[in-house]
Amino acid sequence: MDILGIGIVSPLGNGVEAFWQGLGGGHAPATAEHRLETPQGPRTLTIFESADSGLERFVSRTALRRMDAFGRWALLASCLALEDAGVTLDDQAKRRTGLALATGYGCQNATYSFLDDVIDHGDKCASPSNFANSVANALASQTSLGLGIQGPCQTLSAFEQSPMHALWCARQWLENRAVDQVLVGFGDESCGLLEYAIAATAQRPITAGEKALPWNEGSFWVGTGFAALLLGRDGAKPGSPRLDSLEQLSAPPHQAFAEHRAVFLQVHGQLGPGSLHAGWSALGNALETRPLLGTMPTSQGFDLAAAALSLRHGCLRPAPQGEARLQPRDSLACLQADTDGQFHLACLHKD
Amino acid sequence: MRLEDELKEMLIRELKLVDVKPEDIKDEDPLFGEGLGLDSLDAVEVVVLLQKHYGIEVKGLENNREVFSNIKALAEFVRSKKPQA
Amino acid sequence: MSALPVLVTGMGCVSALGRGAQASHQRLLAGGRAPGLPTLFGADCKEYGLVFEAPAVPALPGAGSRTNAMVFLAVEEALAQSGLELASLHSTRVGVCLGTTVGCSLNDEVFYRYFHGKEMPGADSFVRYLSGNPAQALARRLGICGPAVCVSNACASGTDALGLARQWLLEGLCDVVLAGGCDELCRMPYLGFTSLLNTSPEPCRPFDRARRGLNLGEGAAVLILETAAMAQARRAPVVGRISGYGNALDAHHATAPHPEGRGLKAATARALDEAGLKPQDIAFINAHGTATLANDLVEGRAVLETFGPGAVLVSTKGATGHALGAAGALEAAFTLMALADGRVSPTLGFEEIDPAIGLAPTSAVTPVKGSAALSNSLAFGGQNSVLVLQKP
Repeated sequence: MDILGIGIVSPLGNGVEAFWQGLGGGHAPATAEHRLETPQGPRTLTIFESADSGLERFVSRTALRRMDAFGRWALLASCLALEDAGVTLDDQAKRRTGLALATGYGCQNATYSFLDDVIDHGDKCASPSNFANSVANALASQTSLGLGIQGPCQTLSAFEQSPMHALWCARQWLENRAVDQVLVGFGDESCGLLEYAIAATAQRPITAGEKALPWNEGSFWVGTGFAALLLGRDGAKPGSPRLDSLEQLSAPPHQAFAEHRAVFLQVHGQLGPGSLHAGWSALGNALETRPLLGTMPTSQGFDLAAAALSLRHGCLRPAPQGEARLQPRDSLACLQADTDGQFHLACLHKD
Repeated sequence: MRLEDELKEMLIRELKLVDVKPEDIKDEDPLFGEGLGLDSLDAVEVVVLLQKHYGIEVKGLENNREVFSNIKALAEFVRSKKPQA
Repeated sequence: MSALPVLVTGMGCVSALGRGAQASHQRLLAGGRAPGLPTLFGADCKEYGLVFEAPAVPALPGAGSRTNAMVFLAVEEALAQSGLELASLHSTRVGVCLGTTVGCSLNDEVFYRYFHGKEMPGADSFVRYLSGNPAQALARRLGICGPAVCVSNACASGTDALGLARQWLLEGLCDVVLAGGCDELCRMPYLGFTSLLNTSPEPCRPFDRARRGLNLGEGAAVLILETAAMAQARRAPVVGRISGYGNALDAHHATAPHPEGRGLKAATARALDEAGLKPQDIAFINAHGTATLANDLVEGRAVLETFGPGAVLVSTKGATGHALGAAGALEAAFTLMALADGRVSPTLGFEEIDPAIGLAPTSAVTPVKGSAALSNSLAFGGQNSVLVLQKP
């Protein structure tokens, strides 16, 4: 699939230019330190913050009034992706554009705003607007309403595996000609309860049958934001970065580090000595966006954007050890390792 | 403050009616459809707001369309349920 | 994309109709329903919507949630019918695709209340949540290593999960998918739908002139979907086929459907096109049919326009309530069984046609000929999803 456009709402700023500049160290991400009291004692989390600045260029404030912050990020990322692609949707295109969104935690703030009213004012004061915003597909709903998209739509959720599912869905729609292009979005938000929960689960032992917690130091760097890609079929836009393969593997794909110029890495799980992460980092061509963007379940979305932009510019960011310039035939990979023992590998090159 | 003005401020704040000021809403301007242009989701939200801010239970909407038609009618309704408002 | 059919080789159902797909079908035909006030939780409402609770759902060890317990029960039945060996599931060629609304949310109200009250609750709830994504939990339980995801498309989730699973099979991503939907009754959707004034304090009346709103339900349904090659290779029993899927957005309003059913008509056209069928080939339609004023009006009129006044329309939500993420999957199973049986159940709660709709659903057991039927789901956000289901 060709990556026709990229839209970013991130702690490094919004839009590809700010994102690219930040990936290159041009400015620091927007962060805030939150200190939380937990039963195990105090813990400080670094929250990597996103904002919806720039949305009014695309949608009137009146039209935005019902959308909460997370919904605005989703809509803005899609608007930016279309703008980056130089695409305006006419009526025909609105029917022929699909929407596949990935989110790990879903719409948390709307959920807790809903519960706040119930707890503080009683069951009869539950807000219907908050309820409507709390279902995960509210993100797609806002995006569809903001852009007039009438094609097929899926909102997919499986924590760190979510991004790959959105990409597979897009690929299938394009292949079976349900659509001509797909907006794929990847995002998560944070909230007080999530931060507390992350802080409070420190060093809790895992019991049998539980998914291993994505526990590592990086868990204290809580990422937020939304990345969107406008995808078309191979050849839709010659010269654009192209997604070649999207695989799920049950064994660690060590060969990816030999086959590709660089591998953008999202490892959820133990990071200590002897771990997969330690081994791969030692290979020298593993790149991590975590120090610049924090970690959220759908972080692989930001990595895909970073990889695509690296191909577009012909050089790697974040900066690798050694040479950053890319050769024309260089390919990149985005690898995600989750704690269920699954690996998701997306490979890209520039057409 | 007149109840009518209080209701206007509440609607603007709670329904997030950006760019609307209380003085822009006349007491007899329609609230739904035309006028302020509120829709069905706003209508159910207003039912909850009356509960939250005035403790008034509105059961269902079908019998209450006149009550919600404009600020004047809404204020009359609130007064009828809460004479001290 | 393969043109070979996507086959259904097993089904499992849990709902207010009880456990068991065939038993549920027989109860649908017999009519009879017993919605009541919620017993699973308390609420303080000015008007109490009736609900359809699933009877006797055991708390299964390792399930982590009632939602997942119902999934595990439904899967057990489906696997037994399909004859799939558990060992054959330990493969990257087997996937799980489940629709849900509450199953993916961290909406544990008790946990949140402690936090909101500035207490420091233990984090067990969060760990359960991280381990509790229904699709991932099922994959982990059965040792499945292929794709596993939850579809979170509100009320259309179950239909969309089946549609997505079908896409996976046609593309060759997997050979087998355990696909369906699940949701348990709980306070948040109960209070949410109540606040929308969409619920009814009486047993719901789909498509009826005097309908007042929906009754929430709960449940889980899982269908074993396989490629034809896979099913043939192991000589699997074939229960039916999913031969078409359409999915289209209204882009009209956050909660109300497009008044002319624009998205539903587009999804219907796409589904029929994929199946290579015309409206006249459709024996009956299992409606979304929630009994809300808005849904039934839009859906009923769209069905009338597309399929004509002779269309056979049924809403099984009169017997199960609206089981949210489970609804589309339950209804796909009911549709396949009705096709196989040649009989469609009566729409419980329907008595008098609504002249604004102009179409009445079934009011008695209705014999049908034909090998294809549709199942519709419409959801908040203008989501419209349609499956074409066929006899083997």
